[in-house]
Amino acid sequence: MRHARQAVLVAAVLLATIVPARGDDGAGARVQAMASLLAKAQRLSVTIDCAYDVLQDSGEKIEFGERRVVVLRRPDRARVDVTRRDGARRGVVFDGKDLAVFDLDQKVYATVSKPGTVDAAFDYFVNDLNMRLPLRELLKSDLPTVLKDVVGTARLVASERLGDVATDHIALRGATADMQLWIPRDGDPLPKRIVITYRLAGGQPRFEADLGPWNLAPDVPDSLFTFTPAAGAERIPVLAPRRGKAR
Amino acid sequence: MTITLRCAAVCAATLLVVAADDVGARGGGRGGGGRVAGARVGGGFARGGAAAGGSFGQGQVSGGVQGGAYNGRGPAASGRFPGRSGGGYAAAGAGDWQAERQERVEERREHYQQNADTRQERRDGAGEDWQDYGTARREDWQDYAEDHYEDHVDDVDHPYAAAVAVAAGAAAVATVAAPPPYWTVPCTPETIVVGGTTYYRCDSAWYVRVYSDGDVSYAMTNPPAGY
Repeated sequence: MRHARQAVLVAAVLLATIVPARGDDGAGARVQAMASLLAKAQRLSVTIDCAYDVLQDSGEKIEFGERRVVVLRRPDRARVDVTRRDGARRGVVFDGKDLAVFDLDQKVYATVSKPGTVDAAFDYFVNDLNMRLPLRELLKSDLPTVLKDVVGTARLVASERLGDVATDHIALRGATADMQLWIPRDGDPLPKRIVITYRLAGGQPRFEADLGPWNLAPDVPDSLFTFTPAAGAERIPVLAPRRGKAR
Repeated sequence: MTITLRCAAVCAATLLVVAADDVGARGGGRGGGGRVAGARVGGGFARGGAAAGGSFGQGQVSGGVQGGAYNGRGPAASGRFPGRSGGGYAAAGAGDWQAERQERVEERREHYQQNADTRQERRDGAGEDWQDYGTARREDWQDYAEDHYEDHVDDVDHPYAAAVAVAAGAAAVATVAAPPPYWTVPCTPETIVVGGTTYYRCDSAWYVRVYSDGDVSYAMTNPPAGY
């Protein structure tokens, strides 16, 4: 009996060293490589074609979309220009001191003082002002930390081609949403496509984004991050939800 | 080799075979998961499902087709990353928020209806003093604004009043209990520009444009000076 127990123990040790853990298909490492590269980039630009579902009161799920041109110069410059599918143009600019958000078609803008880094400014923009900045996590300098909670769930779905690019299709699970990434197999591990499914939300809407081309050394002069209101634009305030206080 | 090591080697070999069978049964490895139209196979990813067919669907929806514009706001519009805990989209919280916003819509409608009723009563009353009414109405707005809004952030010289800025003191950012519910004004408004600010008037209600919930919307405000 003693010998049998020893045999099982030794066998278990042998197995642990020979058989890789279930799910250890390298997907987590691919995601970490992507996150590390993005977090360390001092400059980057990328065009993102987004689409997202909105569940209507009728139960219909309607897709909307926009193109976002993102330029980042760490630590304290960023610009996002947005063109919706219906043609509406808007954006946000951060020059290290002020956040400016503008809508060229409605001819309005707002500015908010927030000296510091892009990370802090965009956190404030999204979390405090309740403004919209999809995939803002991709721009965070602590992206590896942001993803650490879900990277362990990463699994390789398949090796797939998106257009003429060979990619790893990777699935991740979060507490309230699932994410799929397509990361090129060759060259820099920069995401080519992202799909997020908000599985706890009604209708399980999806956010989809096709990203590229990426440029990790764009020409980004200071003037790109200087906000100048359009002629005739009206300055308006930002209303933010009052959090943590009783009405 | 001792008996123990021989046993261990046999056990390990047996377990390896079992493990290999398990991998095979799961469809294991890259690209091995699932059949195109079948159910999910083991630990792979299923490729079948309602959307995989790409059918246009059949039949007519009951209850007719919804009129008006489609709502463009919802959890997926945020494009937020998922998280193990916190972060991402909190479905319950968002639901509460939506409910609160709807509740506030109803509150405001009632508020305006009360104002309208009060005005009608005052018009009907022979000896009513319109100046008193105007003062009362403004005080009513003040109370309403102070109940629902508070100032925040920097003090910027900007001419907003009442609901947006009576308490806010013309701030670049005003915090509110919930975002204003008006993505559009409830009428074809009269547009009046006073002091560089565009006001939108629907009957007795006045609005100004604000950024809220990521988009330009309309918040109630006091009438501009002289109105």
